[in-house]
Amino acid sequence: MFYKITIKTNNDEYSLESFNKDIIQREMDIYFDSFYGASKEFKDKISKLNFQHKVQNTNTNNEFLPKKPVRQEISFNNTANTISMNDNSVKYTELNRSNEINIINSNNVMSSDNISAKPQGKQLFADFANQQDTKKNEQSLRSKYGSNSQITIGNTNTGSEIKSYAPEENKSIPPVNSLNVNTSNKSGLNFVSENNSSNKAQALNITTHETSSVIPDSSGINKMLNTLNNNTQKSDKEDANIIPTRHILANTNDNPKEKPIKQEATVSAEQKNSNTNPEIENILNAIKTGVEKTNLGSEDKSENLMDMFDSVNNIDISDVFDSSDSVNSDNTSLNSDNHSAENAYKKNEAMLEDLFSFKSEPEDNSKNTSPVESEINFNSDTDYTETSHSFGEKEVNDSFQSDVKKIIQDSNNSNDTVSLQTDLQNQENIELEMNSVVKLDTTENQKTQENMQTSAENPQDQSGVMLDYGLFRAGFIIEEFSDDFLICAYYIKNILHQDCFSMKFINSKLFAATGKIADMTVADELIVKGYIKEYEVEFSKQYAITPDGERYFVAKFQS
Amino acid sequence: MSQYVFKMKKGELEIEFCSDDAEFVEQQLEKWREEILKKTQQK
Repeated sequence: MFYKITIKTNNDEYSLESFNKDIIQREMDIYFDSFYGASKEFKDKISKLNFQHKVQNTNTNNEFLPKKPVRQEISFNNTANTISMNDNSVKYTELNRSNEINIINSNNVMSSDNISAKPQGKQLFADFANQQDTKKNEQSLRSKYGSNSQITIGNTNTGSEIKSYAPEENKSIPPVNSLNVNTSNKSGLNFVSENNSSNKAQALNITTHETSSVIPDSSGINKMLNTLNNNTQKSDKEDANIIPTRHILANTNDNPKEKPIKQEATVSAEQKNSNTNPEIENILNAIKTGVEKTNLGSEDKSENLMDMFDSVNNIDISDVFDSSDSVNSDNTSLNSDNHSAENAYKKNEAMLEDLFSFKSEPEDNSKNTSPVESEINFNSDTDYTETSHSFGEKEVNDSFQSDVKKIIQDSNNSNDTVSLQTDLQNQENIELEMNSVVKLDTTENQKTQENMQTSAENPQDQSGVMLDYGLFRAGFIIEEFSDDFLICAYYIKNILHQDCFSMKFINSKLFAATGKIADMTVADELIVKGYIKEYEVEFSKQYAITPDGERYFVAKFQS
Repeated sequence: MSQYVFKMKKGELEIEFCSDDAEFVEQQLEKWREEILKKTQQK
């Protein structure tokens, strides 16, 4: 809760804000005492206050005669030093306008010229706070503020204001009670219910302030509009021949229990024939339309936002992954893709197991592999951000199967002593290798695939007894990095049994062992010396150690 | 949230109380009114 008290004079202003109401209350009590106690003159005036209750019912039984509106007022008059209840029969004391109390909230403004004027402060405030219940509030106000009311409707924003005037016989009497409902938006309203019976002593102003981004309480406005319109029509139906102005109610009796007394006035034929004033109806409709448009405006904004979200949502993420997910016929979402990827990985493993068991037991191949192959998804292991080749399911399976058969056949055809049975004993390692082959098959890295196939051809790789280059070079005293390069080339040829190598491959070995990578200057240096030869294979440069290079290695490091 | 402003004027002096606590504003309003009436009756 927020509390603020401000003391203003012509020359100075003091303000205190707090969230502690006790502090504010204490301050207010002090200033209130000062307000009423500090001024000796005012204190003296207050001391002379007294109540004068005079209630006079001026209702007349002749409903065809213009009725003198009853004015019942309790006025706190600073000049007269009296609190008096007056009616039309009493000569009014001119109100000192310096004494006034305004009750305002951010949406609505209600002011009363007199703190002690009716309705009493508490009820006044309660009425105001409960003004959401428009009808109830209006009835309450009607019972309190009198009934001979007059409405003025206008648009405060455009400056246009359509006034309805009081009857001629009442014009001489300034209004005493007024109800103003103002909205500052374009569909603004200005309802003024004026009691035509006395000088201005009480005023109830209700103003709503709107901003373009905030819709305050259009429902409340609509309620008030509807209530006002209904009451207007009701009044018109009841008092179609009363006055050429818009009347909310015609209860001229201050006692709310009594029936309202009809007002009398001359009206035009046009107004007689119509239950409602078309001009005001148009305005009301325009106002309603404005309010609805305001509401619709917010909806439009929401819809625009929703459209934006929709447009974002309409971006089919699966399209992004479409190229890498072509094998998966149901590429509807990333989640499903991920799920299928996990499943496919497991199925890959199962398929490899089946394939190897097929090699051991060929007759079971069709039974074991077929169902798995039909569901396998090779691309599931690939990076979704990469663009990979699209394979048909059968194509991929055939490719995979042929690769596996080729690898196993190569292994069987190799002269190495390591047999397939040995491979099966190291099935775990082989499965990893095979999985790698499968993955690389589904990507476009053919070079790496070749290397891996070559690695698979090497029995040392499959048996797990391959000598690491770091361990191999540890036995030599190497002073120059070119010697390291040459030793690694010797290692590749004689240990890995690869006739040639790429710079990428040898650097992977060198970096793992020495933390360094060789550039072309090292290779060129050895090429110039004749220890390394260079040749091109399928648009890529391959290198190999020459016999001179091998002799140099043996002479320098093994002699 | 509604914000209620209670303003009293006496000549050049003006006290303005502003809060969004409707209940407190109502109580304060009633309190002041009672005090005025009480002072009046005491005199």
